[in-house]
Amino acid sequence: MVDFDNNDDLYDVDESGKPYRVLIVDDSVFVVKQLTQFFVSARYDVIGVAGNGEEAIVKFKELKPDLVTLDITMPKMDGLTALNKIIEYDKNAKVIMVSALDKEDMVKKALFAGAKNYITKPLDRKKVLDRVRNVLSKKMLE
Amino acid sequence: MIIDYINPFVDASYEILSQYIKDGSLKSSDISLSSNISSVSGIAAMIGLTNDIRGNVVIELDMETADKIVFMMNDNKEGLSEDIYYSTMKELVNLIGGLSVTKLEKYGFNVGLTPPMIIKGENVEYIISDSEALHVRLESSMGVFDVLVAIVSYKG
Repeated sequence: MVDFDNNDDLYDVDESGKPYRVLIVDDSVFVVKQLTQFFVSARYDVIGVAGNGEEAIVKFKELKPDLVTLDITMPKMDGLTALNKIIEYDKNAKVIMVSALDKEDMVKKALFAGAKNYITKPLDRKKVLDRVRNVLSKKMLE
Repeated sequence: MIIDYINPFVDASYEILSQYIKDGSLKSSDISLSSNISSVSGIAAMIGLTNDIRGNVVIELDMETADKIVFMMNDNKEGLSEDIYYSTMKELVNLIGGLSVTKLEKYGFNVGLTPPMIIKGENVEYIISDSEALHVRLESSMGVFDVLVAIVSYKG
């Protein structure tokens, strides 16, 4: 059963009243499940999941999500390489990096490359949704 | 065996496990050197260190302890699939590796991580690395967590 979040849904729907569409990119089934639960509980629409950077690019182009959560350490293609390619394709893409690595140079690299935020694991529902809302609210103000 | 820079791994293991074992029972009970070959009865999750430091970090648990930590990490939900079970174990060592690497940055090291892997079975022998490993035993109400850190080389 999903516990819906009724506290603060200010930015949980887009301008037309539809749920935001999210693409989750992570090679960990555990993290995908965790993020999906967070998003579904806040009434976001998880429209796709990718397990590596290559798949992420394909799904991003195909699904055109409002938001992407992107892991860094993944097989085939890492998250930073995928981020560069996604931003190359759509410079306005809203990408939030999610990683167990809280290294200053990596955070800087990701933000300079166009990521809108950086979340360090372990993941906490409030931390994730606060950052997501922050990124999406900026979109609304643009 | 290089024992410099081991503390970040020990501290990270303690800090990550403390987030799931909240009754204050987690404590380091033993630190020793072990051979580069380990034998696991239960489950071992391993992650590799790359770039400035090369080596491996492993966490070994018996199945009962593994069941408990996996259950806890999944918000006490029952009926988890095998996929989720192993993925949770991988994430546990990934979190420990990630926090260790973050701590190592303070010493000026740029360390990367490989995707984690799982070894499971009874008396399964596996090679941790080319050299001996430091073995840290953490005991708790949930069970025993054996953390093995093998640093093969580092830039410095």
